[in-house]
Amino acid sequence: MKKIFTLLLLFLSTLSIAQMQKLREFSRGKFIDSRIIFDENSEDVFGYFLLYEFDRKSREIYEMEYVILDNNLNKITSAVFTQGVYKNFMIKTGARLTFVTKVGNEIVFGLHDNFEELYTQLHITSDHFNERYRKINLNDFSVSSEIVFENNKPLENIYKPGDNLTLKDLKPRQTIYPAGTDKFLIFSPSEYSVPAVAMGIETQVSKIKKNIKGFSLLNSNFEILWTSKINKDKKKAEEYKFEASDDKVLILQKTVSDKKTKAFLAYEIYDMETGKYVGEISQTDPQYRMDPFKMDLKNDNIIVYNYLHELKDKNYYFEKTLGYVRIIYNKSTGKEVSRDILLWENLSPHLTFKKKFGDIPKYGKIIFQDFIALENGNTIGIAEGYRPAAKTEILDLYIMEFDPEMKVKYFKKMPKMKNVLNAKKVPGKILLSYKAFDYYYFQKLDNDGNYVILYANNEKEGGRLKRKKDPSWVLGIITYVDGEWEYDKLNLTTHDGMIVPIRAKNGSILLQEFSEKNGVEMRLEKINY
Amino acid sequence: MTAAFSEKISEGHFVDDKLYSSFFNGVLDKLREANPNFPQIERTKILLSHGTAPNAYAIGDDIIVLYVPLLTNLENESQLAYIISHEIAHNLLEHSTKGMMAYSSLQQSQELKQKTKQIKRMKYNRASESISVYKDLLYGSKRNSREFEIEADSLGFVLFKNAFPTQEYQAVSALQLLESIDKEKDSLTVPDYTLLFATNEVPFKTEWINNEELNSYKYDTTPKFWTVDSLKTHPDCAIRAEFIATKFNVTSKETAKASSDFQYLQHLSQYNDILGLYAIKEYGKSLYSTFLKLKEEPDNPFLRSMAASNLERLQEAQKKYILDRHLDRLSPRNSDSYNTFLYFIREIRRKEMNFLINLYKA
Repeated sequence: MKKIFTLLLLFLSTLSIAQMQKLREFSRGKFIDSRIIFDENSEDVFGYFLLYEFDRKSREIYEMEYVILDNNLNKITSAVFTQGVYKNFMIKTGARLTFVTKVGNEIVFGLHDNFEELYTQLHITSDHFNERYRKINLNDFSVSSEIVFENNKPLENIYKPGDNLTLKDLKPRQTIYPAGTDKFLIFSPSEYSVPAVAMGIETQVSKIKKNIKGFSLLNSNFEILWTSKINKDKKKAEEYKFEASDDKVLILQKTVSDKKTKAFLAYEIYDMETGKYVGEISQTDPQYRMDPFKMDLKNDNIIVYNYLHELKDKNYYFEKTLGYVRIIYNKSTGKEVSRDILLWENLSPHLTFKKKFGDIPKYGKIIFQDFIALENGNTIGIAEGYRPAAKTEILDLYIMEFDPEMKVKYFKKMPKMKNVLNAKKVPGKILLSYKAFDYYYFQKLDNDGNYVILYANNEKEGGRLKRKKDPSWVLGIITYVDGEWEYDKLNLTTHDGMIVPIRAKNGSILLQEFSEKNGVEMRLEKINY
Repeated sequence: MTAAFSEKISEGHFVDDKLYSSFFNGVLDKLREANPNFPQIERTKILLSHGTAPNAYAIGDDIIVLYVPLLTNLENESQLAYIISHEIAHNLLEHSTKGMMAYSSLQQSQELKQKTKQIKRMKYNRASESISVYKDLLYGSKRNSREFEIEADSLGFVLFKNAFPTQEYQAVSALQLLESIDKEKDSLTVPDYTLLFATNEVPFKTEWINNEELNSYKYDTTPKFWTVDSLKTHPDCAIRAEFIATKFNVTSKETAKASSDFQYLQHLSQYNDILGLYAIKEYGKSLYSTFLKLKEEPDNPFLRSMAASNLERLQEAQKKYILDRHLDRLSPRNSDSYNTFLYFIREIRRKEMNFLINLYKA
């Protein structure tokens, strides 16, 4: 589900006086980045965070401005703060948001510089270059100084015009990850020392990751609550990354990597309260090899959706999936509760497959974009068709509802105009990773178990170039209300501009309309149901 | 005449009604007769406009515009006469032309052009420098606007006093009234919703008005650059009232009762306001005003018809995903009652909206 959006707030000048307009342009900030702020449970939108580059004070010191809006687009607060941004004469760098999260009565946001060179040292401790964080108090609207993490400790930085940043100073910083509703996860610095002359970045990264021996949970004051050990046995050391969390569990993904492959191994479950290891989700099956697709944490369960491959398929060939499996685990014990398989053939008679790997004659294949676990035990599946041909095509949307045993209860094909990509035989998993499909996201409508699913469709007929030059985009809006499905659409291409849909609070959608005549209009619209 | 004004004409914002025009002309006649030194008053045209705010303005060319919501909020016709006098004063003093000339001279200013070029060449601190210059210009511009208001207050008082010599206090009371004119005078309560919205098919659900949305937010009210008081175009009306009272030695504080004619005009204006808001496609505001009146007159056929029509227009807008153009969003600047109303309209589902439409159509 995409949680990132781009929101441009353009100040419309009401004074068409040339000099005044220029002054106004110089006085306002340059939009840098934005994020949706979710509430603590990540189930609804709390508001929006916008970041601007306000003024450049010296070569590497800027005044930046943030604006925080509530979920009705009212301004909560805004402020200017002094920020260092690493500059390199060879590469254009700038500050970007890493995350924005609400923690109690604070907003915590992370920044990094988009100096994304494969700099080996980065991977010792951090996911991005020059990671740093700030907190905004929503009671008195104060903003903290910059906070960085080194050796698991928070340190403060204050900048002034004329300060210089050096690579040496910026290297050993650590990444923190929002976890649960008000905590943060931090991995311990790697105990591996990268040689001065490092041959082969990937092997170095693997060694760095395998020598991370622990992780800690921080509270909202960035104090360590507990530390757990990982990679205790050097011979069995692997790479860990943060997968998911809520207030009960924290889940890490463990992968193995060697010279040839990088493969998922298992999930490890830890208790959020104590850091105690609960168990491992090893994802083994007597009949299949499994490749992870999605994980949900819902009530007392961990719900995992995996691709199914043949046992002999050691490399998880992208186009040789047999279907999917949904496995439910208990959070407290890590024990498996249920396992339900969905093979392609189970979708008959709605779709006819030629082979066990999901090939549909004279069509192509389908791949699931998302699954929604409903309170009643049913599951909604959203899939899209594609054809990995000389020019890969994105085809129709499919909506399915499965009963608790993953048997098809409802099936609907939503025909779409095909999108032709200038790429040869791209597998579905790769198309997914590049977000090439037309599915946008799903969202709760309310707290009554009702949902909306959004996707895009270019309804323009004609050749690829014509459709690209003169598109007719619509937003497909599918609602699931009281167990009933309804289908609606909204034109996104207007006669003199376009509309960009953005996620909004439950039951609503934010539409940003650009028009030659009227400029930019932001509308918070209720989903029609 | 600007394009925006022409557009308002073509969109039907203005009201052409003999009842209003004869009332306004009566005021103009008195002002003209009592102020022979200002023969231009004879050329004055008063336009009545639908609108969302209790406001009035002068656009030059001897034209002034009054908004219907203004009429419903005044206490008596003398206050109206003073406001008309104030707007006439703006035209007599040619404030509109002077304002345009001031902006025009800014554009021609070589000093400003040089300064702008210099700022453009700056590598560092460009925004800070621009704000400093822009703020000075803005302060200057707003200062002019405030001076214009004080001039119009003063000349308007002179014109008004000449025509209504025993009513001079009403000029002061009009300005005092403007200070709080935006504050809501009525509201919809939970019993009101139950009365107005319960149908046999769909019993009223309290969760429809269980509006907690804004409660989870605290809003920063620290003045920022663009909102400081010194940048307001109108100084506080309380200060203006005090200025007039002091400058012209207004000692009487006798309130005046509205005449029966004015009361009738105001009574009609309440319904015209509802219809006017509908005409300018402010369906949300029109519906809210309708419900406030329906509390007192639940069987009024006009009000019931307006409720149904506004609900239908809102439903149509929602289907086209343009509801936001016709219904305000929740805001901390709104009253709790209005926010609850907005929440209610945005919360109910399509079938519930259908039942409500049918309820008011019956």
